[in-house]
Amino acid sequence: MRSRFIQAANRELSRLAFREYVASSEGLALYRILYATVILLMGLPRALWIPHYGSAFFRPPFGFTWFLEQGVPPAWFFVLLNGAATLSAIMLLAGYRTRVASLAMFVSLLSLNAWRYSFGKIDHDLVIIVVPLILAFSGWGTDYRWIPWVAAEPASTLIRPGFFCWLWLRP
Amino acid sequence: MRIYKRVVASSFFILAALLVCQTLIQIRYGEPYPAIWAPGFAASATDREGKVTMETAQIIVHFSPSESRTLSPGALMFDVTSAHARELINCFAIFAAQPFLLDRPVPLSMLERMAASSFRAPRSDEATRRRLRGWLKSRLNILLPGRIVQSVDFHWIQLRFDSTLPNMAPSVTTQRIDEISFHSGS
Repeated sequence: MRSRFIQAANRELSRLAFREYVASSEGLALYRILYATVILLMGLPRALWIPHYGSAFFRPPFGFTWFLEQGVPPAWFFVLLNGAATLSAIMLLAGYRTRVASLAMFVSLLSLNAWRYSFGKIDHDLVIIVVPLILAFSGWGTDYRWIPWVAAEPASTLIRPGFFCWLWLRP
Repeated sequence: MRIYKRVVASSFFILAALLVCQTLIQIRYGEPYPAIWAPGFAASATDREGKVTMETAQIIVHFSPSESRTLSPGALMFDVTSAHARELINCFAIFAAQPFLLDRPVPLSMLERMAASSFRAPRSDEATRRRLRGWLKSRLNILLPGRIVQSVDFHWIQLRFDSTLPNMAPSVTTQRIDEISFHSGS
């Protein structure tokens, strides 16, 4: 009786995670373009004000910046991170090396935010930043590429985490 | 496919484990970043009487005994969003005679501590005081070029919104908590 219940629960969870919210390659690619455009137009540059405030205002939460005793990095550090995030967004928009671009965008935006939120306030935009990490291996770079002569990721290795897609793409 | 399914399934357990870790960190050290769950709206949380308390400040810059100019935190910190400016201005509370913004409200139960987890006390050592003084002086030079600033007063204001009253009724009370003097020349 118990094993039948577990099997049924397994089937239902499996359906929910892998089949219920499957997104098409075209749909994911459109979302990639929309996401990269929004980040380029509205999300960048960020954290460039930090060097103007400096260590006197530095109140880090528990996280990456908690253990840093050196204080606030110089302005070029934030310009560099913004440059990396911008380049990643352009690569995502063009559909070029989207896995690397997705991971680079996640790391650069998360680093920028870790510094931004070391001055007292934490915003809710982690939900937006996690999107490229979740979708890096979803195959959102296979369609609508501006550089079609560069090969996309092999289809056999694509992961389509339907449930995660639904979880993060829902309004 | 089987390995992939295991990876996806195990990620749920990893997330659950991270959630437990976050809870423990939150109780001990306050709100972490990055975090599994989004930060709470502690600033707009209602108390037991249904009141929402928000703190802000007015910065009064004195040029002479008879001439002054009032700035908002947003005007002084013009290059950040107003929400960040409200938090940044709290660093100047270390100059207050009654350091009400420096300590976490007590007593707090574990649940109350989690609700107020976003509280982070500003540094109050001598080096920080010197840096803040220097920052304020240079910022006022940018905002008010050519003016000689004699002193700066910070007026801390507590706004209490009564969420139980209808919209038409007056639901805001202003209370001056403290006044500090900040002499830019000293």
